[in-house]
Order: sequence, then C-alpha cells, then structure tokens
Amino acid sequence: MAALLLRRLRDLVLILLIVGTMMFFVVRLMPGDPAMAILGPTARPQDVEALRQSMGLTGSLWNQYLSWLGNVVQGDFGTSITYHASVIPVVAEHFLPTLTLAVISTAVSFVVAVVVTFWNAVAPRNPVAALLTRLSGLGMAIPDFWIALILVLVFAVTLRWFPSSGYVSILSDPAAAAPTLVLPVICLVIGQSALFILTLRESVLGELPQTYLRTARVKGLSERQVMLGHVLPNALMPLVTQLGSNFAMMMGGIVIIESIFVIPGLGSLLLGAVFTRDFPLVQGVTLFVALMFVLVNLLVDLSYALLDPKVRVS
Amino acid sequence: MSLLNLTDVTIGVTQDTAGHEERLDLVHGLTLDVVAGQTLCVVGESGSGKTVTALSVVRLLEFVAPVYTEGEIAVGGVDVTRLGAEQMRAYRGARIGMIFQEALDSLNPAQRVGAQLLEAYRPDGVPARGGLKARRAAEAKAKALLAEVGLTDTARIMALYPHQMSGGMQQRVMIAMALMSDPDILIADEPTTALDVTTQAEILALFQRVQREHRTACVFITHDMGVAAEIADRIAVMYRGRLVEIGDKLDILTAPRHPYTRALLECVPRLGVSRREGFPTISEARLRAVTEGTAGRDEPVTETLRLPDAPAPVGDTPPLGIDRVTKVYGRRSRLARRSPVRAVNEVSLEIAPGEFFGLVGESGSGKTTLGRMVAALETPTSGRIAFGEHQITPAGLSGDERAFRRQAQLVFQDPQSSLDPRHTVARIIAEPLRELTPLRGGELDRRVAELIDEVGLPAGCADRLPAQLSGGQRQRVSIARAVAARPRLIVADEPTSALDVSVQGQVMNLLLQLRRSHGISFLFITHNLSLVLSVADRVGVMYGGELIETGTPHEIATSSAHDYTRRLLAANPDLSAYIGRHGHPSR
Repeated sequence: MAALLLRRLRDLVLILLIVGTMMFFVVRLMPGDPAMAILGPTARPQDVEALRQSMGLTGSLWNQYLSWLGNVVQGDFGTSITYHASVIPVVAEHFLPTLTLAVISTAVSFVVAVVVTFWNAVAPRNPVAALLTRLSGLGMAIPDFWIALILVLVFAVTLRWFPSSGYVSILSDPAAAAPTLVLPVICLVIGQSALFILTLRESVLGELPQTYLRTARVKGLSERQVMLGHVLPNALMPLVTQLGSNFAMMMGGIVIIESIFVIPGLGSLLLGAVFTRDFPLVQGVTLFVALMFVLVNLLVDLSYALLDPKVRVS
Repeated sequence: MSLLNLTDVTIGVTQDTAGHEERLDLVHGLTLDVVAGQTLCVVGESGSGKTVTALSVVRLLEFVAPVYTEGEIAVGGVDVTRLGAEQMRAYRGARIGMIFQEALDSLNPAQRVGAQLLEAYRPDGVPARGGLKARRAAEAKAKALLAEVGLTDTARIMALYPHQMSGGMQQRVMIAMALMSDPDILIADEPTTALDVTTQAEILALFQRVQREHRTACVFITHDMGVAAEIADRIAVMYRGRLVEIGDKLDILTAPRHPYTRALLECVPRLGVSRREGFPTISEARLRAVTEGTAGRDEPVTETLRLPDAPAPVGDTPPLGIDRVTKVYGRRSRLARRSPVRAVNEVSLEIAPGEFFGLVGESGSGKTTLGRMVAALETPTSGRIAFGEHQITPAGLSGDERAFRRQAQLVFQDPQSSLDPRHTVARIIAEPLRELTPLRGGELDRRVAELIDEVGLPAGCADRLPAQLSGGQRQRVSIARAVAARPRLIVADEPTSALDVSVQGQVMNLLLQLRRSHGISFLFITHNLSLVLSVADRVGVMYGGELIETGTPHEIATSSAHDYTRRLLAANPDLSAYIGRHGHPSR
C-alpha cells in the first residue's frame, strides 16, 4: 500500500508538471494580448507596455516559462487579472459549488442505478423496473442543456416550485441552498444515472451465470439475498471505475449546467478566465483540475482494494 | 427406505426457434432411487444428462434456463417438482445439500469463507432466528464442521477468502458448507475432477467418512469409473439422457449387462494393461444397433485399433536433450515481499528419436513449464535444451525460429480455448503451412484436405468453426494443426484431459498412429497415471519442479524407488485394482 501511494505521488508531480507546461504554452498561443484586453482599444502604448511588464509578459517565452515555474514551485500562482486577487483563494472559492453539485449528483445517481438495476434483477417481470431500465438509453441520448431548459420552463417559470437560478453556499445556509440545487442536480442525475444503470446492468448480467450463485441458491437463500448479498458486491467494480472517472470529469467544471443555472463554479470561472485572457487564472484552474483528477483516480484505486479482496492481497 | 425417488422423469429446455417454442429433452424417462445411508454413483460421459438430473432435484436450473420437468422427483415422499418457490427454498440446504466441481468458482470471491459458511446455517429450512444466539450456534456448527473436514485451524480458515486456499481446502469448505443444515441427501457433482489424484484420494476418503457419520444418502456424479469403484454402493450408468443400467457396484463393475457399460469399462485405461498397440473406442453405429435391437446384446460395441507392428523409420528425427534446465519465475523485489518461484529445478532428460515419453505429475510440479521450454515458448533461467541444430538457452532460441517451429510443435490441453473461435477449421490448419512451408494456392488446399482426412475429421468440417465441432473433433483439429508442417517432435500438454474416456481413446489412437507413420518423438504431459503408464515407452515423474525418477512403465508401476511415486500410484483410482480384489469382468 505504501508503495502504491509513493508511486502515485511521483505520477502526480509528473502529471502536474506536464499539464502546467502545456497550459502555459497553449495559453500563450491564444490570439489577443491580455494587457490590451484589460486596458481596451484606446489605451496608450506605454500603458500597455507597463502592464505587460507587471504581468511578467516581457522577455523571451523561455524566460517567462522559467520564472512562472519558479513561482509555482514556491506556491505562487500569480494574481488573477479580473479578480485582482491571488489565484488560489479565487479557485478555492469557486470549487465549493462544483464539488457540491458533483458529490450530490454522483451519490444520487449511484443510489438510483443500484435500486433500479437490482429491482429489475429481482423482479424481472415488474413493468416499472423494466421501463426504467429501458429509459436509460434515452437518458443518455438527451442533451443536458435541453433537459435544463425544459426543467426551468416547467418547474421554475410555470409552476414556480424552484428558483431558476442562483446559488447559496450549502455550508453557510443548507436550508436556503437546497431549493437552488434541485434542478441542476436533476439535470446531472438523468444523464449520469442512465450511464450507471447501463454499466451496472452489464456487470450484473455478467455475474448471473457464475457458479457461486448456484451455491448461494442451494443454501436456500431467497433471490433478494442472492442479489444483494452475492451479486451486488461482485458487480460493483466496473461501476466504481465509471463513477470515479465521471466524478473526476465533473471536477473540471460542469460548464453548461453552471452557466444555465448561474452557479459560480469552476466551469464558469474557467470560461470567464479564457474570455478575459486571464492567463494566471486559466493556468491555476487547469492545474487544480488535473490535481483533482489524479486524486479521484487514486481514491478509486484504493476503493478497489476495499471491494476486491484479490487486489488487497497482491 | 429410499429418500430420493425419481419416477419417469423427463427434463428439457424450451428453445425459441424462429418464433415458435421447441422442446429439447435432455433426460428421458429416468427412474432411480437413492436409499438412506447409501451412495449412488451416476456415471456417464458428457451430454449424458447426469448434471442436469442432479440440478433438477434441487431445481436450480429454473434460475438460468427455461426448463420443464415431467414425472415425479420425490424427496422423502414429497414431489418437489410441484412445490412453490418458497416451499422449495426450505428443501435446499436443509434437506438437500450440494457440492460442485469447481470449488473456487462455487465460492463467492468477494466474501470470507466464514461468512459464507454461516449463511448456510438454516436448520429446519428457515433462517435461524434469535440474533446473537443463532449466530453463536451457527459459528459453533461451522467450526465443528471445519474441524471435521480436516481444517482444524478454524478461526484462521474462516477469515480467508476463497482464492487464498488450495483446491483441496476449497472443496473441504464446500463439503462443510453443504453439511451446515444437516441435509438428508448430499448431491456431489464431480467434486474431485479438478483436483490432483492425491488430493482426490483424500477428499474421497473424507466424503465417505462424512457420509457414514451423518448417515446421509449421497448422489455422487462422476465420469470416472475408477472413482465410482472407490466410493459407490450402487452405480447408475447414463448415456444420452437415458438410464442404461443401475445395480450394485460389484455387479456393474464385474458383470455389466448393458453393452455400453461394458464398452465404457473397457475404454478406461488401467494399470498393467498396455495400450501401445491402440486403445479400444466405442463405435456409435454398433452401439445404436445394439440398443435398437438390430444386433444382439452380447455383441461388442467397442473397436480396437491394431497398429502395424513395424514402426516407420525414425529418419532424420534428432534426439531431444534437456541439460540441467531450471526456470525461476519472479524476481526478488524490495517493495513487495515476494519470493521467486523455482518452477523447474535442474531437470536433465534425453528423449530418443521416435520415443514416446510420458511426463506425469500433479499441478505445480513444473511439467507444463518444462514442456513450454522444450517448445521454446519460455526461456530457461539456466541450462540448455538441444534438439538437432537448435539450442534453447537462457539467451533464447538459437538459429532460425521458423526452422525450429517446423521441427517442434505443441498440442494444448483445452482445444476450446486454444483454437481461434473465428477461424474455420481449414484456416486454422492452413496457418502453420503458410507460415512454415512454401505451399501455396491449390497445393496448400490439397494438403489441408489431406490433413483433415488424416486426423479422421469428416471432409465437410473444413468450413466449420471450432464451436460447431465436438470436443474430440476440436482436439483433432489442433493435432492436424500441429502435424501440418511435419514436425519431428510434438509436445502434447494434457491433450486428452478435457475429453470423455471413449473420445480420449480416439485421440490417443490418432497420436499413436501419427507416431508410427511419421516417426515423431513425443513429450506427452499428463496427470493421468493409468493413461501414461499404458501407453508410453518411458515415463518421468515430476514433483516440486524436480524430475524425481524415470523408467519404463513397468518399472514405475511395480518397483518404484520413490515414496512420491508410490503415493501417486496408491491414490490413483484404478479399476484393475478394484476388480483385481473383487473378481474379474465376465466377458
């Protein structure tokens, strides 16, 4: 286990270095001069030059890279141009909304997938369970922005049950935050749970012919005991992989949903930073997302060890 | 009093073909009974319906296939085919316990065996009520049973996962699990087939003891007449879904009435019976004639091949020399505490041109690794293997690899997984020809047709896929593929262990014929002592990576110097040993 963690730490440093370097150069390939973008078209050339100087945009590209790298290693990601604040607190502030959405929607999707799949496995003739399973194909096909707009139209504009937009921190005021989260979470859950149902159903179908189920049945266990006690733990592995990579993707920002529901998450932060040529912020957000990606995958690997005794031993 | 009565039972599956349902009977009109305290062995080849019958008694098939059962299956007087699903559940475990062939696959891989044992505790067929008290009772029961099946370190065993145990331990756990709710009837479906002979002997002895002490009625399903001879009180022989013959063990083994039983007994390789001139095989046509009454019941239904006495000249076959060969797997690693495994240790061996050398040993003895090194699929860690101009050393195969592959070929154990499922028979056989010989076009096609004929496959096979062939036919395809480029040496790794005994005879005959007609040397690897002793020129015994002795079959069978070899011989369930003790078959 210690060896695994050490190896992962080495990989983490390498990945962050590669992502940071790539982003540094990609950002500088973007057309448009950040100093010009800030000062506007009517700015005097000497003002633009002075601003470029203060932003570290002068000198050769190589020198710019080295000084950026030196700062990053010391924990200085620079100052956001648009927010006039250090990058780290800005990213941290926008991380909470994204994390809230990702955690809640993933958890709900997981529960929905397990319940629907096993309901269908225990009672294959139940029409509702069969219908829900069939609908998962549809759930994957519908684009989330369309669902979002329909939900807003029905539940926010017409019925006025939930607000159409807005964000309240779940930490400061959970009661006020709950209604604002309902519609975005439903949007995310529809696509995600459909994907989870398909994954889980596939692996459950793969487990059903296994002979250890014959043993379980020959003990006189009920079908419910067979499904929940024997099939579920063994069928969960592929779903955990799927869940991990999905969650990691969401860490990168749920751009469309955040934009529609006006949630100040990482996705909208990154989008805004790209439009305003806020180089330090773009680099900071992407590095943070890469970090999250690696950490989530590490968590998934560790959970394998928990789920599969064979991994734990070897 | 008989505990289990099957009366005129027909079992089948409904298949949905082209829109309308079609019935396919797997077992026809079966009638048999099992008496309390006795063991009934159900013997038959694959497809005889013995497993289907066993699964139908506990009604497990209905979970995986659309089955129908006609007739009556009475357990203690109650027809279980008419029970509701909930009532049936009370019979499983508490009235009828079951043990399966592959113990590892039959245990939940993600759960400790302790939990799996406790779950099976359902006295009176319902989950034990009473929380902690019931759990204590279950734990006490599990520990007592584990100790009884020879796993005395109960606390440690219960905390293990199935894959952390050996095959023998897994099967012991399965036996304990089947006994958790004190069933009246124990059904065992080939419980020792996947085990080594010495482990098999232990499990069989354990099974007999358990059966005696718990006074259960047992149904023991096996394809191995030798095992049946060891364990049965009565034997039922099945063939193609029908009961052929049922009777006391001694009668069946020494005075079989049905020609199929006689044929089956004749096909089993036995110690002291040489089959070097050819194995008997069952003739389907004659068997059908006898069963349909167009031929007398005393007509033999077996055919025995007689090979020409003079073997073909050995020609240019070089000797195979194995010189102090060692194979070590894994290397020392500081992070993971793994020690390297010495799979083969300092083995030296000469195989003369045209010799049929049998290599016998249990799983993990290194016999397969040695075979793979001889075929240059693995490189030795030290030592050298010489075959003609070719050398296999730690540096790898010297010289032209294609030239070596023309000379040495391999036949694998399981033809199902060693043949590409998407290639036709003709394509499988043509592949080595195209790679290793200059044959092309019409000449290539002619050679493929020739090979298909030579290994005894029907000509129409050429365009079929492996899945459309029977097990024996598939193994013929892999033999045709192996001999296609006219090799001088064939390494055959358990080529018959996935096959029925009568099909085994056909495949062995084919190998013997090829050896006679082409002067091929054989390294024949197997765990089947009776088989290898009846057919090889010389036999080597491997144990723990070492070749502990070599000798002629006669020397090995009668005057082995080695403890381990003698243990193997004693554990080997051999028919002649039993029949020798109890009289001779009346022929």
